[in-house]
Amino acid sequence: MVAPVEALVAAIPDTLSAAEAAPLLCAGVTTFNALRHSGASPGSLVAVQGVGGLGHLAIQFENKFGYKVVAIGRGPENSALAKTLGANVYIDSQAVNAAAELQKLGGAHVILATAPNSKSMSELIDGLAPKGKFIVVGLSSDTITVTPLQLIVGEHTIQGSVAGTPTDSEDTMNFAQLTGVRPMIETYPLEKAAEAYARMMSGNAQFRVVLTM
Amino acid sequence: MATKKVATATMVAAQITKPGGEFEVVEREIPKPNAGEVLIKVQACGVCHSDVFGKEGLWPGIQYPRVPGHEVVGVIDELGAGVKEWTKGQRVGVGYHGGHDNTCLECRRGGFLFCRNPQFDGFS
Repeated sequence: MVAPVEALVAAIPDTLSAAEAAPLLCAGVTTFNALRHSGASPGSLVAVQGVGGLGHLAIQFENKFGYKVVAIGRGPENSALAKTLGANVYIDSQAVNAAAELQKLGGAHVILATAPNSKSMSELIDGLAPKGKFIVVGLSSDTITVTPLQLIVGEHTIQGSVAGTPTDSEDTMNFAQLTGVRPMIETYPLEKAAEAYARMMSGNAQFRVVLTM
Repeated sequence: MATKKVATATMVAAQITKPGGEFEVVEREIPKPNAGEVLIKVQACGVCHSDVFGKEGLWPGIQYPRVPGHEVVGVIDELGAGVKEWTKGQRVGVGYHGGHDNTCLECRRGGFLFCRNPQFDGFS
């Protein structure tokens, strides 16, 4: 491909293969940048909605940033994995009211919403602590539902966050190099692009699908 | 008179030819980098959920055929005119941010992530 120089990301660590580095250029920088600019401090309760392509990286970054990490997933399947990746607490949103569970823990300073499910996002907003921030990175065209009351009481913020600049990606790479954060990937040869795309869309990939050539 | 076939260097790409179309693996001519651009020999590219924009034609004004993908890692294969800071063989990546114009209001403010005339890899 051709690319203009202002879009180029340098400083890809030698310790990362091309297939390992690739997901850091969107999934990685998206979660890393949203979290590092979230205002959360070491020790803050930070929740991530979704244990998937973005979420499994977010959990690792949150752990390395020194947050108290709460992973929220649908079903019990990802509990052990989320904890292996660095979650302190796992909440199964199909079994319990996740927002209420977050309040039992004191409320979340930040909730990073990674799973593209606007209903699930809407249900979590009441899990925020006062002044808490709900950051949306899971891309969907469906409506998030929130009332003025939910925002006013507790002075909550809802915001989006969009990937980052090439130097943000370089910071992400550097941080991954320093701390050992790595994407979990499934690789496919370029010739199987259709199969790879279907696998990504199935939501069953563990966790990022990467084409190699 | 028979058309003379000119041998050109080709690459393999997985492209979409219409909104909602399937991936087709094709040989395409290797593009030449313009001034201020580099040619990258791609080694790996992540498949991201936001590739639906390119695959399904959800991005306003999207043109086809299109090769989706915005998690690209490879090495620089050729430098366009005037490119001084980068070297052939250098390992590089390209993400969602595919370029900005440096002249719009947002770029002049230093916020080139919000460029009014942005390029997004894989769908614009």
